[in-house]
Amino acid sequence: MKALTLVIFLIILAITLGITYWAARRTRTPSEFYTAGRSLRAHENGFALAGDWMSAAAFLGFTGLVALYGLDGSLYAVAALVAFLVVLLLIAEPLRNTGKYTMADVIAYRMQRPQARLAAVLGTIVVNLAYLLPQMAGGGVLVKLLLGIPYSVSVVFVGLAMVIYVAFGGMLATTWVQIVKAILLMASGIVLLVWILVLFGFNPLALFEGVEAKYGSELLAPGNLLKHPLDPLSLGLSFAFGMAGLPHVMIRFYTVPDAKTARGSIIWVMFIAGAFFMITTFIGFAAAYFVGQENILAADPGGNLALPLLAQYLGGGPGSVGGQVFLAIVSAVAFATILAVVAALTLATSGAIAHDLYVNVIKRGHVDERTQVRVARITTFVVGILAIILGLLVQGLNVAVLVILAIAIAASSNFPIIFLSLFWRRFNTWGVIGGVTVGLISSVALALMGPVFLGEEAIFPIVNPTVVSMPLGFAGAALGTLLGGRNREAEARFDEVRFRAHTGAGAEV
Amino acid sequence: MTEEPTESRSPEAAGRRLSEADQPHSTAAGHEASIPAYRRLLLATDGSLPALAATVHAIELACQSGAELHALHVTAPESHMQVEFADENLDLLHARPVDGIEAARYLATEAQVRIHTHEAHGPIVDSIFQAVRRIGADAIVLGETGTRPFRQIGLGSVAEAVQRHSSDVPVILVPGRAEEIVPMVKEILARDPAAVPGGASADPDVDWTAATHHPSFRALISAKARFLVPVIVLSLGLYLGMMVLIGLAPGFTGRKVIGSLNVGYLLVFATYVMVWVVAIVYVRVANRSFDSKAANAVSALEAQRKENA
Repeated sequence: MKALTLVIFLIILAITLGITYWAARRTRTPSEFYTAGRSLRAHENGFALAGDWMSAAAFLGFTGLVALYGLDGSLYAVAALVAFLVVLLLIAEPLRNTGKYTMADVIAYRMQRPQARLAAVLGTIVVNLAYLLPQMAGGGVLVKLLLGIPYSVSVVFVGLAMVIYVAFGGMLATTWVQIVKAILLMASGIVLLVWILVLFGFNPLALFEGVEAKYGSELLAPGNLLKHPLDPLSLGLSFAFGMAGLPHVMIRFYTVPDAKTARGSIIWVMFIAGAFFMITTFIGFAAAYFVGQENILAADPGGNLALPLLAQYLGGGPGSVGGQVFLAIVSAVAFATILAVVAALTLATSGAIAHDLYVNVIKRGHVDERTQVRVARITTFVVGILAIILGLLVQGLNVAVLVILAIAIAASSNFPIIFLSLFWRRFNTWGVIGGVTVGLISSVALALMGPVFLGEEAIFPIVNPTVVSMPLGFAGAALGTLLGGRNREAEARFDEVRFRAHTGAGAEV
Repeated sequence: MTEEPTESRSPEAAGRRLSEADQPHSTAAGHEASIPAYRRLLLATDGSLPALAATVHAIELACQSGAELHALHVTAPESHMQVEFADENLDLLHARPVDGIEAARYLATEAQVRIHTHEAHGPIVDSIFQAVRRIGADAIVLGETGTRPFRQIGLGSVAEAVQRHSSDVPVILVPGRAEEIVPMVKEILARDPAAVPGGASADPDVDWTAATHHPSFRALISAKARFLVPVIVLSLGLYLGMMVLIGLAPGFTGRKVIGSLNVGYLLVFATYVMVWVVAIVYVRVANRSFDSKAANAVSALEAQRKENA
């Protein structure tokens, strides 16, 4: 049975590596390495965005949360969709119109000071690494459970595969990997949903009634996971504004030729990922109903294996051939998910280090194209090794903890400075530094003092720090700006940024 | 162009001064720079100071040897929208980036040398060698960066790379000294402001503040504000309101409505629908109204730029 899992698993891996190799032969200039040569169409980029956003947290995490905590888990899923509405209405087009490779570009263009870019780059790197950890940990645990190899070997395996993806293919390869992955995820989700609906006579309400009969109406009511009255609001704020501060997702808007395509790609992702998020509620409840909460908890205390276990049950149960085949397919899809998200994260991080830190801050732009590509590749290897080391260190930590931390950091430190760079004339270098510093410190500190790390003895009662740390990030940015004094030059450039942000004039095609 | 070139002002003379002072050197083995016998010269230029020095030198070489002069400008994929740090050399030229091809054409015409111009798009070094093969050039003239590169990424490094990769065609590197070239360019600009038009990579001719006050841009902004402000307030208000309600009133949101479905789940599913509807409406409005208004603002900007240039 292990051999079967391995074969299916390796086939999917071989397909994605083949795509990477094919794309690698077409990657030559830095622009192609970072942003796929700005040639992606709306549905391609939409699928890739969906792939980025439907990480292990969605596929495994949301279904598990619904299975164990009901409505609170479904709140996670719907919040993850609303994130794209904020991006669509506020951020995506202006960011695409004014940037080149990374989110720090627009900030650096306005401020023209290395310190501003440095602060933005630090925010990017911290958020990416924080987001990388749960993926590494999740991938490691999944592979360990599937193949029976030790956690440390699994993590090294995940790290190596992701470095190969990125270093030889760049964004184009990770884009195609994301597209393939998104299709696989959707297909798995739809097959499971249809199967569940068949079992319940195409009546979703019957599923809810079955769950209520088995676990009582408490599972369908709020408060199972999010205990504090402000918890749902804080969760909502984190997701809604955190994604706009996630560099590995926002970097995708540099891969499309114009604002209309950027918009179109968001519509695609909102329907692909949104439908998928909605499906997680049904999959989660079905897992609770058929597999049982006690079995889900026994397999993994975080509930992360609810979906694979449901697939196994529907295929005929543990030990049966059908059950093992289903388990293998779903697990391989989950692994491809993690690998692709990790690859995109590595790319955004190495982009931040190579382009922002090395080329523009250290070398002040004095680097030719070939050197830029080489530096980007070396950085990728360094980030990969770092991810493996950190992945080994976080063994045993709850995956969801780290995901929440990353999104809270993004909402508190990255979102305020991007938003203010695009929309506030007086915003200056000190504002960037103040916003990043206060946002980073407050979100990390409050998360560490919260219930997730300290349990009952939490100093800060809310799971997700965003409801406090995001306003603090904005306050830090405003305070820095006002204390830094006026910079007429930067304010003059705001007119250009504003014009370009809204019209797309002069944006790279 | 209308003025008769005089000895003190002609770029050819300036180039001669420069080449005597700086000794441009050919790097191909066995090739002596003293008596060049070129038939086709390829000048690679990006309008930077070293490139302008190279332009002057190439024109001089073409004069001496009677070679055909070809000027090539390569647009690298990242050169349209530079977000790098401002180059201090820009200030020397009144923040005016130079279109390398137009500069070469202007200088060659003044020196009465025939010039062929070429544009390429792609990796700089590869494009230069493609042009060498296509033209059949027997020498490449390039600016060598002693100073900082202009707004293109590192021409100096491109020069090194060209030199490294060129085995059969001699590469002539011309050092660019700002103190030599800047007065020359300024002189030309003072005589004929339209002589060296600004390149496409930056727009110093544009008054952005005026552009943001133009009625076409204001129409775009007010149309966006009229639509976006209420839509954002309403949709985020409903969403965050649901989160607050679920947090503060778990009893109410846990109340069953249809079968086992409670108020909370109905709100969650309603939020999915609300988000999808808002997104579709926004995209329709943006595609129909915002894009055409943005295009109007951009064409107004182009008109203004032409007027200023």
